[in-house]
Amino acid sequence: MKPDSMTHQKVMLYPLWVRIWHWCNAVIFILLLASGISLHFADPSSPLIPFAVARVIHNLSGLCLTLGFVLYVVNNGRSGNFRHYWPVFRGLVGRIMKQSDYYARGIFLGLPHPIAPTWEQKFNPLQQLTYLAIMYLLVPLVIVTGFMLWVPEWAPGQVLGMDGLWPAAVLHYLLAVALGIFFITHLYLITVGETMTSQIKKMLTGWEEISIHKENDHERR
Amino acid sequence: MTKPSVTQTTNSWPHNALLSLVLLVGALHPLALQADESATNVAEKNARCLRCHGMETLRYQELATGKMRDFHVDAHKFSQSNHGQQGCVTCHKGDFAALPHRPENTDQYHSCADCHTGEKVLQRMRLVGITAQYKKSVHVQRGVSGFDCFSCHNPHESRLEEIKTPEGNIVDRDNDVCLKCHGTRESAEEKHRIIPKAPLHLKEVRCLECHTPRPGSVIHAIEPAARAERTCEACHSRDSILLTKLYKYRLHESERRTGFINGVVLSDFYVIGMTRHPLLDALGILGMGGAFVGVMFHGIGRWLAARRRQNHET
Repeated sequence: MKPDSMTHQKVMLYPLWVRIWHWCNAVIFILLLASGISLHFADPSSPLIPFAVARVIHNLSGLCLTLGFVLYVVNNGRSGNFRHYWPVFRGLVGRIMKQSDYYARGIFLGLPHPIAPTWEQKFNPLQQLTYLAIMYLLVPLVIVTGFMLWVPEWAPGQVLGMDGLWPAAVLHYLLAVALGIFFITHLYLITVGETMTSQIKKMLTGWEEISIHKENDHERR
Repeated sequence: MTKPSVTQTTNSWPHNALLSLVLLVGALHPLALQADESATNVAEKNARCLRCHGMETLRYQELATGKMRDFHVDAHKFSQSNHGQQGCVTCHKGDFAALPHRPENTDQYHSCADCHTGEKVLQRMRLVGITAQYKKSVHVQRGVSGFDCFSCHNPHESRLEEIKTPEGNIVDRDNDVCLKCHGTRESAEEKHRIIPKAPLHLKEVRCLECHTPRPGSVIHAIEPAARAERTCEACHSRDSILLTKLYKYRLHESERRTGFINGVVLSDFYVIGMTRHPLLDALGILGMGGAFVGVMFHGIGRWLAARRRQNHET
């Protein structure tokens, strides 16, 4: 892309519904992780959250996560926000390498972000693939297995000679670990914007400065 | 058990015919219950009792108390039980000649300790410890009228081999014992609404798990409802009380078969907080801990690099 054909402009990349959903999800994630850890590692002598309380928190938060997920999927499709999640496969590997190199090396050298957000693709390729996997694979699976644990009658009767709930429980646990790892790295990556607070400001206000073609400028207004 | 003895034999047919007639009449007469045990075998003698007591309908409701009195004995289960070789009158004392039997005779029977005596036997059957627990139970403490071992344990059906019974069957059997006096499953579910998913809990675990003291297998010291176990972690944790109660006899199988902590219960149910896999636990802790340490080092690295760049510029 020739630089003289590009211009920078502040656009609304995170509409209100995305921001509300995002911050609700942040609270739900914290509640689910804390209560889930308390339930899985339940210990009467040193409970993080007492089992009876953790059960209620986990179930209610799980319901909120499900409701939020359904609204998110519907709105994502209707508003066109899904375009940010679907990768442009052409040159994808190269962009992944470029972004990985930035996190492994460039960021320490103070180099600029290698892939700037655009109107079509606001996420960098690593973000994009991670969010796609989280929101369209891991979260639905954690919801389904969570409901099986909540209503054990929905789980198969027996699997490999043991109670049919165990594969659901193991998968739910592994998904929770993966989502926990995502949550920790996601929190850290808030700090890797242009400034320490630019990412969080973006997610509060919804505005982001993007590079756009001069000839398409009118479409973003 | 005494072996039938032959006291006298003769080849005279009129004598034999007369003896047969006397035995036949005697066998049909209720008084035959008190006849010499050696005259016929135990099974035949018991069959006379079971002619009536084998009928499932042999029960009535006491007018004074409203309680159902059940006099039915399942002949098949009795024959398979540990007491199946005993004669009915070995344990039931009194005169059963009159029909219907006199009320003063119906409640006269030997207790467990009347027959199971001697230090070794008591030790093997743990009757001393069980008696001590039983005396602390709410049924004894509150002086429940007519309550004894047989209120819960049916001597006509009990078998030592029941220890090997699948836990699911034990739960049903033991809970049915409680529900004989304490209402129905529906009323029990209603009373236990404090427990989440009460029907599921009442189906999968025994009343005894929560209504007896913890820790340990003191399941004969049944406690009043007010002192019942109310913390979820009692079962939903690594040191679940189920291991010292319902799964006591299979504890040794615990992790060997499945690799799961407390895997012994997995054949019946997955219990959140109780059944965990040590490898998965380690993976979770390492994964999340590793992510935390990783981003921390990355952050420190960024800060140090930024400081170095700043120093270079100045």
